[in-house]
Amino acid sequence: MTLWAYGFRPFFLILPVGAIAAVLPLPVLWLGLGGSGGGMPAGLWHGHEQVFGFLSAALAGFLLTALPSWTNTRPVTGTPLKALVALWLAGRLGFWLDGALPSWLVAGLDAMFLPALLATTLPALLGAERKPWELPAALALLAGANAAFHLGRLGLIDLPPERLLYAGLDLFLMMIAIASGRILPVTLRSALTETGAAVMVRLAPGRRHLASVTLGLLAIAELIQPHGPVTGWIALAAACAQADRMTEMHIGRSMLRPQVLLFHLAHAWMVVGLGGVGLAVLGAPLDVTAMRHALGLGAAAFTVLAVMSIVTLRHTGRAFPLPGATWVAPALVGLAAALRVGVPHLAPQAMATWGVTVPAVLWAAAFLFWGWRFARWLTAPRADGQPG
Amino acid sequence: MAGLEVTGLGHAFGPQPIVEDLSFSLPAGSLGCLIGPSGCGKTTVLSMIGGLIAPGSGRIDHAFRHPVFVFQDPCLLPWRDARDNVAFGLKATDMDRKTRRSRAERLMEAVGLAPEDHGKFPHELSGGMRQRVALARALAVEPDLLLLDEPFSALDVGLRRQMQSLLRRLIAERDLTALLVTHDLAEAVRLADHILVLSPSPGRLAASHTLAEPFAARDDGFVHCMVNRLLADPATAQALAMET
Amino acid sequence: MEEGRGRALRALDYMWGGWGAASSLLLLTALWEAGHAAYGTLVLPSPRDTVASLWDMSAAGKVLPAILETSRNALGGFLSATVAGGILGGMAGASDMMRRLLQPIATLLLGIPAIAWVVLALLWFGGTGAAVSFTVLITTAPIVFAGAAQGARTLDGSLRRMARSFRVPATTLIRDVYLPHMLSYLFPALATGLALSWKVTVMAELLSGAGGIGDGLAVARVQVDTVKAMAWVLAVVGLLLAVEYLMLEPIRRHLQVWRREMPGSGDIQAGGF
Repeated sequence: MTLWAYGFRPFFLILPVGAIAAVLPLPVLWLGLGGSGGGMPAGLWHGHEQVFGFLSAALAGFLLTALPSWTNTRPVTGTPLKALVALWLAGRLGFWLDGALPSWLVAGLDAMFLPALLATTLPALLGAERKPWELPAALALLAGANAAFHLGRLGLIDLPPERLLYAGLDLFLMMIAIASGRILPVTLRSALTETGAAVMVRLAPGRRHLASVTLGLLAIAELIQPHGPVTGWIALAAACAQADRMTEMHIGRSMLRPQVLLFHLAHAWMVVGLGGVGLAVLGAPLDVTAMRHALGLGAAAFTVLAVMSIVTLRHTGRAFPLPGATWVAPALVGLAAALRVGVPHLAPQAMATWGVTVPAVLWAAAFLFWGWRFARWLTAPRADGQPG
Repeated sequence: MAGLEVTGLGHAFGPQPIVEDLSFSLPAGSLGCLIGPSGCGKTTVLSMIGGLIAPGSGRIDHAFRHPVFVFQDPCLLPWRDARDNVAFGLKATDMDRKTRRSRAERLMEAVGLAPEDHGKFPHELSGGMRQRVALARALAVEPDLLLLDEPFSALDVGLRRQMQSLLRRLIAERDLTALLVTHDLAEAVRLADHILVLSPSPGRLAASHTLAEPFAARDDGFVHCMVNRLLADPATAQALAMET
Repeated sequence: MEEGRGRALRALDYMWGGWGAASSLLLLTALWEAGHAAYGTLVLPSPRDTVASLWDMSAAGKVLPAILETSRNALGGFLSATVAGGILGGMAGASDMMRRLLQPIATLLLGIPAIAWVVLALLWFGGTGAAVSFTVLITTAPIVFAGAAQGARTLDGSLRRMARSFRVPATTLIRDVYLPHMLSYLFPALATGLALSWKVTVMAELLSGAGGIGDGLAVARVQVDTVKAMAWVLAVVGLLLAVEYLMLEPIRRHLQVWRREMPGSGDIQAGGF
């Protein structure tokens, strides 16, 4: 069946469901329509579902598609792919029933997915000639972070679970920084071709490495001392390193093509978020939670939407130029991010409506639209009749 | 008097004579090739004709107003782009910058440099393109005598053939007289109207040959035959013996 | 107009490049903060306290005059060193006799520690700005000398021959052939000399009490005020970075346009996903 022919298809198809589910309880709580039924604080629950639920599914779809094409190995399809999706769903189900189920069971259901993802991708990778080892390594760290989240929550290790959410988000940003070294050459080149400019793409690997390393350091710092000044300076350093990378996307008019501008905006969000977190930690009057949303909602979700759209089109035989519909979901998410980051600073009294509910609705709308628009391509065979 | 007349030319560096009692003449509008083994003073002769060094003895007579050199190394200024390199020689004139640059553009076109290469710096150009820039720079000053010192010997065979045709074409179009130094008899046979063979050090005229075939008729077969025929001449063969 | 736009874009690109440097410096600040956390304020005051202290001192009108004083001392010495070192170095590069005469002296001067010059200059000139500028002159001139000599000696003979064959005037010869070549050797020497001149100035000021940033440091030491001392260090570092990135680096880029890489070469990445 077409749906199980390539990793991105099932994961990108259920992703909107996961994304919407992860924000659903928030408006209810903030508007005072009901209490938290679960066993953990709502913020922790929401953070985990966004980072280790939503973003992990996006990562799975991306890695299962990209790794085979980088390493020229066979993709994971059929039954193993079905098993992976089932594991991911089991984790989500566990979190929805958190409170009703014992905590160790919730942990067990959730902690299996990332190691399983690593285990399915690793064998083919080890046999490949060129090993993009940095992504599986980051994936292993991510799996470790999720495990530590649960161990901390169960009280088995002395580590507040929210720190693992911060570190997990940083790891995601780091993976985005690493992966964009592969993505940007393609998107920049296509954008230049579309606008008829001379095709000349030069990316400095040093820039990318600095950006990834600072984010990795930030993950470690947030684990040890999330609100210490050292963390603040590292966050600022990471912000500057991301800003430094944006210069590679300054390619004249071609920058306005969606495949470039979306990444540019995502980077801008990353700069804002990292800079904001850094300044807030160093004592500036900024809401650090809002700034983390600039990273998660702005940078990460923005990148996820851009990559999901491009991957879906490319791997179903419909490459550039991107259709106009690509804009809608990122625009809605961008608006949601702007509200979630801006309202706590500018109008804290309107937080419940304009800072939480409206962004949640925009977020849901974005993913509904994306699912409606892209599902037909995810479930139909490739346009060019090739397998995959 | 038309053309170049060299009589009893001699030069010595210290006690070591480089060139001795060299006499030859080259009619205007023709291409002469000065050929000889390395160290026979070919470059010194060229420098004396071009006025870079004074003759030690003998005389050089000609009515050319603008002799100009093209060296084996293109000798481009690395800090100037191709356009400014071509325009460099024009700085000796009272032309303004704009005129210099537009003249440079025209000449770069004439030697076959694509417009996108005009703004490149020497290290961004290939060896053949650099030599084209050097040729354009020489032609920019509107010379009447071209003195070429092994200009193509650093280029590979295909490129050398291209440049040789370009040179012949430019000489015909611009009605130039040219004297080319080489150590390659095949190149001389392909290009020259007159071949002047110098003996090993100290250089003097060992033999001279005149070739009447038009350039277009000089294919590989012709070059091969003619080289063999010239080497059958004992004086020529002896002078060039050190080369083989 | 096209050219002007290109230049503006390049300038913007250059300024944007500052983010990379900022990232590196902020990581150092994080390390500084960690050191502060480990050893306490007396050993290493925190970055924020240091900045606050610098701010307070600036508000009290102590910093700007000190910076100006230090800059005047440093630039005075450096400019004389440039003139003297440049001329003598050019002579040494052009003439073998001058090289034989001057090279050993330059080597000897390079070997004398700057601190020894400070002591001698204090004895000769007393605790004044002249002593400071003299120390800068004598320590940086040999560096400029070496650069100039190298540049003049390595002038490409074949380029000179080419220029002569076209009979270009002497001004063209100097401007288009000699100077660009000389600058590629002289400029790195000048950059090194300029950076050194600031450090030597602060040291000489500290010992001579001739005012400037060094004097501020001396006072902080007497008062055992680590925060103030770090604040002065920050002021020097800020000054150095400003000179390096706002002055030297743009000039360096302008001078080296002709060394730009081949378009299309460099690290082209294989992409795909």
